[in-house]
Amino acid sequence: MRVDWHSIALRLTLFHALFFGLVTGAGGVVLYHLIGVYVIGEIDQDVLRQQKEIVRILQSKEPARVQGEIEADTRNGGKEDYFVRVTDRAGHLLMGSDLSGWPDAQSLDALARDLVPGQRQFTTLPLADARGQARVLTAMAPPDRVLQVGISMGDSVAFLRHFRHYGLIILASMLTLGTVAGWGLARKAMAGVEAVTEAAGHIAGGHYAERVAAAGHGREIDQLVSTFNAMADQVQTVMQEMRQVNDHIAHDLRSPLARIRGLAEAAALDETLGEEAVELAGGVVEECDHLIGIINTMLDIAETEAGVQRLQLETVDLGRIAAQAVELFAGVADDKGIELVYRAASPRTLRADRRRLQRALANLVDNAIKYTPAGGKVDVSVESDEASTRIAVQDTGAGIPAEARPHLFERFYRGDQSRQLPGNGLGLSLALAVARAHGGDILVESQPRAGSRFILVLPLDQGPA
Amino acid sequence: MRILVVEDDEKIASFIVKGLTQAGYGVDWAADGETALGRLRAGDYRGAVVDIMLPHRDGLSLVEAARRAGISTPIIFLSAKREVDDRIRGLQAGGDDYLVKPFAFSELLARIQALLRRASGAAEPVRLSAGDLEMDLVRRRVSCGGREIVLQPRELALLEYLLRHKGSVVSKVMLMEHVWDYSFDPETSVVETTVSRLRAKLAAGCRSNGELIRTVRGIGYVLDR
Repeated sequence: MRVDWHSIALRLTLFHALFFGLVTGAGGVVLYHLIGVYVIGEIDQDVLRQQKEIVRILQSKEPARVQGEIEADTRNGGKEDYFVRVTDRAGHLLMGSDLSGWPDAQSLDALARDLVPGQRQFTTLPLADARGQARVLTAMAPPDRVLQVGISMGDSVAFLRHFRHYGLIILASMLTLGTVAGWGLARKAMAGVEAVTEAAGHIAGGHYAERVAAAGHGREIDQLVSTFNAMADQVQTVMQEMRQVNDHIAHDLRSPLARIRGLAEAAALDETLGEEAVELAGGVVEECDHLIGIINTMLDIAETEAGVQRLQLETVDLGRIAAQAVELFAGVADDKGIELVYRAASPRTLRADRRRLQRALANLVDNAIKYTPAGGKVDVSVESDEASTRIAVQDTGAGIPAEARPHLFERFYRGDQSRQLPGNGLGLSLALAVARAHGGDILVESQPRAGSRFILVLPLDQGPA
Repeated sequence: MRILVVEDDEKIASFIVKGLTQAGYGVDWAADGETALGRLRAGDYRGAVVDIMLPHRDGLSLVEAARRAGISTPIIFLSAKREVDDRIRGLQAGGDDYLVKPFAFSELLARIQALLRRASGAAEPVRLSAGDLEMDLVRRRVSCGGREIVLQPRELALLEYLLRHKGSVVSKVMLMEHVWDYSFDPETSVVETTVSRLRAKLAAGCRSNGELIRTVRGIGYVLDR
């Protein structure tokens, strides 16, 4: 799947996830830091308590007994819990507990040497076997010695490690949740916009009555929807008025055309006029018929578009209509060296306007033959299922250029390749109007140089046949 | 035994009158409904061509009045309206046929001839002919000087229609309607193609006849007597 980085929904989602992640991450880091400080503070309190205890021992006992006292004390409390070291100012060990497993002596000596007199210093040092860390308090002890007390930070480190671990899990959850929630929100916000886009697409395709359902998208989107619908109303009105004007013009042209054609026909049939005049009059009649054909087709389209109530419904055998259309053009196709084939997989009967369907289908076959070169093939087939029946007209012509496709069904549209061919550019408009009046549609599949396929789709659920 | 043309548009009336006269009918013209009703009552007409939109009395009420007066003359309506409802109203008013403007005169003529034939109760022929060409309508066979010419069903129907209207020009639209049962003329000329195939077969099977089917430019085809 190609990712469209310009999608607002995607951007909103990413922004949302990023925001969630950052806030959670920052919160976690601050909390971790605070907890770390608090935990170290607690440990420092422990070390300090221990140190005061040792100082009390040092002050009250004979120096010679202190060593034994310390060893007993550290052993009582458990060797792993804390250690004690007493050195002189130069770092020489005077007495202390067993240091195995605790930080190495050199580091401790260095701390003792560097101690500023009168101050105390908390330091975190790694244990000798790197199993963990120790918190070491270095301070002066009377009379002029340096006392170092250290305790293991094992439990606290484990606690912080757990905290980190769960923190990361929570962060990951928040990112996932942020993405999902963001996607949901973005989809919801964009749903209204998508509805408008879809409606606009339909309107651009000629369904001028299409509107967007007005409510429930949120205020901003609802405003967009109502403004869009108002615009669509205007477009529809303009289109209707334009068509009405066209239809009136078409209607009003019929009477003068009737006169011209009649007079010309009378002249064309009057052999006393001489060959040249008869020929001329015949030409006038031909042009009149061309114009009358255009006008009548325009009126037919208008009438068909007016809806199903204008149709003359009867029970129609689609297989027969398709077979008739093929038979109609059999001679033309033969003359042009085109193979015209009819296959009926599952023809059906339905309630339809036979004359209009005949004409719609004849227009499709007519077109297919026009655009297929000699040696090509035009294939007409009928297929049905429960819901609909489809008459497909497949040719092996040049195909329809992509730029022509959106205009195919427009009135009077003629593509580059059709200009040299007979026709008035109304055939497909009429066919589409007929399909839509029956609740159906015409689908177009086309590949350059591989031919085109026009599919007349008619729904079968139009009431009892 | 004349034909009455009731039409207020002078130009249209003029070519109908001229055409019918050329076809050998005696023709009277009335420009409004009242005059026309008087003529129909007074004279004995074989048929009438009546425009629906007329001054003083429209075509529908004219025909209704004529039918009430017991006048059974076959009547063809002319109308600028093409809706099916108008056609039905015209036939309900007592008209026998209905033609929408703009129309081909040749079609009007063919329809008048058909109406007159029906009204006269002429027996349906079983055999049609033109020169050496003969068509047996019962066995659906065509022969020329006794030699059979094999035709496709559609070519046969086309030839039959031309033979039935022998001497009159028939338009492509009429042929589409009666030979193919289509009510329009496709952009690709189906009629031309079939006519030229029929011509080729007739020319091959019926050498003596020369060009039997003549094209009249702009109007259609005619099978000469």
